[in-house]
Amino acid sequence: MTDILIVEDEQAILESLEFILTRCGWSVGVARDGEAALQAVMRFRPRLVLLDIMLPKRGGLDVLKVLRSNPAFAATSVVILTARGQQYDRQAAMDMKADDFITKPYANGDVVNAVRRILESQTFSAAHA
Amino acid sequence: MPSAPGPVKEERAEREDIALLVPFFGVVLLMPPLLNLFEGLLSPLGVPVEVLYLFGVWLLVIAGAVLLSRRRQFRVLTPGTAVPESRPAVPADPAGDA
Amino acid sequence: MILSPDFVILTAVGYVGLLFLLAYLSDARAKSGNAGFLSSPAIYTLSISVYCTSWTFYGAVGTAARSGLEFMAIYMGPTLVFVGWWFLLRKLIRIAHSQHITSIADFLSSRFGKSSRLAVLVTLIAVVSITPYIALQLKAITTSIQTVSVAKGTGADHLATLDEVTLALGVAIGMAVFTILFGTRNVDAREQHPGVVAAIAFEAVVKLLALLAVGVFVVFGVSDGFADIYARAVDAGVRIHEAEPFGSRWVAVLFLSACAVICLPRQFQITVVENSNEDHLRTASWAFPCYMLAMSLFILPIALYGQTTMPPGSNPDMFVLTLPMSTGHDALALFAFIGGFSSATSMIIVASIALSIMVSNHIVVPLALRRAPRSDEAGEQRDIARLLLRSRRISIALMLLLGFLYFWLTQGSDALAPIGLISFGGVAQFLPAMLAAIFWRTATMKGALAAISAGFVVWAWTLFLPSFDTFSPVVADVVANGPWGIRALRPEALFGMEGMDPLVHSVFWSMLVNVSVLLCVSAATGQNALERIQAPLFVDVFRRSASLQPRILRGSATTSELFFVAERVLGWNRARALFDTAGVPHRQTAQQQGVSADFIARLERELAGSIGSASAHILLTKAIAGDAISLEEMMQIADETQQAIEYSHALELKSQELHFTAQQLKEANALLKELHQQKDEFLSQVSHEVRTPMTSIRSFAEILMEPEGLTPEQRRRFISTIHNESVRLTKLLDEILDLSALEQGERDWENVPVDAEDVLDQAMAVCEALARKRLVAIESGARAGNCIVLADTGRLSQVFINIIANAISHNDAREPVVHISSRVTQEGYVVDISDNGSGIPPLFRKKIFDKFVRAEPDGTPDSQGLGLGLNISHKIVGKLNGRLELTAGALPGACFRIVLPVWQGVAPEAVRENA
Repeated sequence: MTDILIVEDEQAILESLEFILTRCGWSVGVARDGEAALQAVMRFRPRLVLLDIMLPKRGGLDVLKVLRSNPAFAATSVVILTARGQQYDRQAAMDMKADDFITKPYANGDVVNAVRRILESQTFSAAHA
Repeated sequence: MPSAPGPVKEERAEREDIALLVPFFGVVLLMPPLLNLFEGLLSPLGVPVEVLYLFGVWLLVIAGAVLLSRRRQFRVLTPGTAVPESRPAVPADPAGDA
Repeated sequence: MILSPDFVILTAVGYVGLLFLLAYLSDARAKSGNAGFLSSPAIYTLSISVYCTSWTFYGAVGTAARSGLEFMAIYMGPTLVFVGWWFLLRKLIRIAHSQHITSIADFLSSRFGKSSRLAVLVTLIAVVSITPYIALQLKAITTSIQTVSVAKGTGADHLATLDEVTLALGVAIGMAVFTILFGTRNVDAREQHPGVVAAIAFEAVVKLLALLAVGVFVVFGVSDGFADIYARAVDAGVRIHEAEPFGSRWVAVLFLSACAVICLPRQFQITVVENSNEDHLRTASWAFPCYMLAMSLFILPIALYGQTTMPPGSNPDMFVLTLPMSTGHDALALFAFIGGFSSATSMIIVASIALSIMVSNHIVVPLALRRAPRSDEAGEQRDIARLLLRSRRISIALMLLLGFLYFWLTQGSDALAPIGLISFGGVAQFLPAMLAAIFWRTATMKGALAAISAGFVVWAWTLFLPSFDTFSPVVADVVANGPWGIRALRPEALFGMEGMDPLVHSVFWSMLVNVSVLLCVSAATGQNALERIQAPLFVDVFRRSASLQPRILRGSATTSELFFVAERVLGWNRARALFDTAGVPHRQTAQQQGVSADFIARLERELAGSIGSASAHILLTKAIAGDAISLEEMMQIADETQQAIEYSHALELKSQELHFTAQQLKEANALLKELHQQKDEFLSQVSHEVRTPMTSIRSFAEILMEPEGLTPEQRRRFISTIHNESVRLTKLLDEILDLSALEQGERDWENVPVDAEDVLDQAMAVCEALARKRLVAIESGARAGNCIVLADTGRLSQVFINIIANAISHNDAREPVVHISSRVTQEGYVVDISDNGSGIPPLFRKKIFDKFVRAEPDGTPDSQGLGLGLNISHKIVGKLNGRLELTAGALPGACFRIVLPVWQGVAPEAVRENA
């Protein structure tokens, strides 16, 4: 089981995210487009998905929708990453029960903190379940 | 006095009331009191003065009428009188009496 | 020269034939629309002089001989009326034109609510009043024929043996035939007879010339001027001054003649009905008095000379004939006879035509129509026309018969003038009603009817009846002692008013009664709906604002008819509500239920609200079975309709215009919206495209800020990424600026002749590296060789590189190939750059050259750029006067074609050096 799945089509960003999160001790998987992301989610069962919105083949929001419609992934947290940052993207993401929304460019610490917070709350709720 | 013009009545640019002058003076001059002033007088020409007077008034009246008729305001524009019409000569409803 | 009766009569018949020919030709001319001179003021004036009858021609001399200057009053009255034309005649004519009046009876009846009773009364009075007048003409003709021929004493002639009565009968029959032929050849809708008018005008000239000829002959031929005549008269003991001062009789005659020139049916016919142009009246106002002045110029001298020279007892009425004859001037006498004949015939013709119109229109036809069952319309129309003609002919014959009878009954009376004045007195009874009709809005039909009747009765009693006293002993007894011996009712001394001139007496009493009755009855009675409608049309005929008020319908309709119309348009409920609130019963079968003008106007307004005012008016006009709709109204309606059409057309145009403008605005707005959206999207795209490299740059920079735990390899790699992303960012900003510059308008480079092939080769070389990296084969197809175009090398190169690079990087084929060929065609220099990839999806083909459009559905890895490249290339090619388009090329994938105009300039050598 992987902690985090990073879905990002920009190689450089993917690389940097992978480095930061791995350095923090989480296990990380990657996908470069929406389809690959869905397969990766099924395969790796990540606790959290860092999901870019502008993705080839299947958009990030579309991926989120699929995830949220499947009860099997109800526990999977999703953090949306976007370079567009418009309000309606944020709203759409929140409506689809994304757990967080991070606008590019971001401080690495923000991503790490967000991921940590979400993963810890998962642990907490799991402990009390 | 009919010849006294009322400025209020003056609706057209030019006065029509002066048309009253000729018939008014015609009537006055041809009425007995004035007419009889010359009764029985004979003019130097051998013609009775009342005859000359009558013809004189007559000429005067005609002259007045000529002068008036030449004035612009007495030109009449008849609306549509020269157009042939399509009215039956019969009263259309002989029974329609009140 | 021998004036035998045969000769005289033949002359008269010949003259009549001439008149007939003249009338015939004039009619034909008028009918062909070529009236010209016939409708001139001169002809109009001359025709009015039908006023001067044989009574004037012969009788004036007689009057002058008997009563001095009194004859002049007969001309002075009309003179005063005509010089005051502006106030009375003009209004009569205007009304007659606007209301299509056909006679004086029609005039009065029309004003007083189209009352047929009034029309019948006026017609009957006119017939009775004019009968003596016609008799007078018969008498004049008969006497003149006798005078001219019998005076010569040619006993051998068989006509000479005819007595006066037979001759008069013959003349009457002849005149009847003549008038029937003349005036009733057809029924004219307007009751205008241009032929008759022309003949009358001609006769006017003849009679004037004849009288002037006799006058000149008397004054300057046999005498030595006016003074000589008066001197001789004085010598002979003839009275040259008035017997008594001008008094009531003068005023009465003046008054009667003024009335007559308005109210005589023939004068009304000629002056008002036959008038074709109101402006003619302006000329007639002085020309007709002039004519009368000329007619009377020699009356006195002739009378005086006759009295001076003719044997005592000779008839002064015939001096005009006898004076030339007595001196052997038979030709002049014949001319004078023709003049007198002219004046008599013109009067008979016009008077009997006018009366026959009245009789047929107001008595015969209504009776006939009331009796005849209603047939179909067309047949009815024809029948009416035939009926009209027949009834007119019969009325003419009847008029002359009556005239003859009167002549026969009163043949004892010698003087002509009294007969004329009797007629004048009769028709004068119309005057108060006439004046009330056009000046007094609230005068009522009952008032007019009563006034005319009462005036007529008084006139008949005081003036008409006594004219029979020489014929009837009974009448003579009544005149002398009153009916049944009641002396207070003696015709010539009513209520003991003795010692008055009978004429003055009659005028006084009849007018007193007439006017009093008119005033009192009008005050005591009310107007019915039609009168209220008609009165303003007459009284306010000159009021211009009338056209602004709702046009008022004439005629009469039963309330049920009105309700029927209203119901059809408004529906039963609304119609009933309308009638109920106005208090008008709607289920009434009775005639004319006092529908007020206001109500009709209101109904019209209501209808107009539903179907438009013109249609409402037409509908109501049709419904109201009154006067047929007049031409003027038709024109007004047509105008209104026209205006409405024009207005609505204008509105339509305007709304089309507005619609068009709105459409344009909408389009512009849509365009603006789209542009705005594009701008938003562009900014959003730019933002995204900038944020993406910025993200990695920032992220790696932050990583590098804490270098612990990084391998040198990692550090180098991260720095390299930062660098690459910075370059990408810079390139992006350059492209945006470039695009902005290109979009600003004018190109910022100089077009010079360059060899496009060279540029293409260079671009291919630049792309070689990329192609190798992507394992794409670049095929060079057929090439154009050298081709000079006007361009900037850098920009052209940019386009080529961009498109080739696109073809390389977007090629998703297994064995990707990019094919490049060029050629020179008629279109110019053409470069095709095609690939064997999957091509541009149809969805994108249209907007492939737009900004930020990337055709590939899945981001090809490493797809650099923003999608601004094609857009920039497209703009550059546009500024090189060429075009960049997507076509089908050699390979199955996309094919971009660049077409540039070939430069037709100086030698390629020079260009090569430049390039």
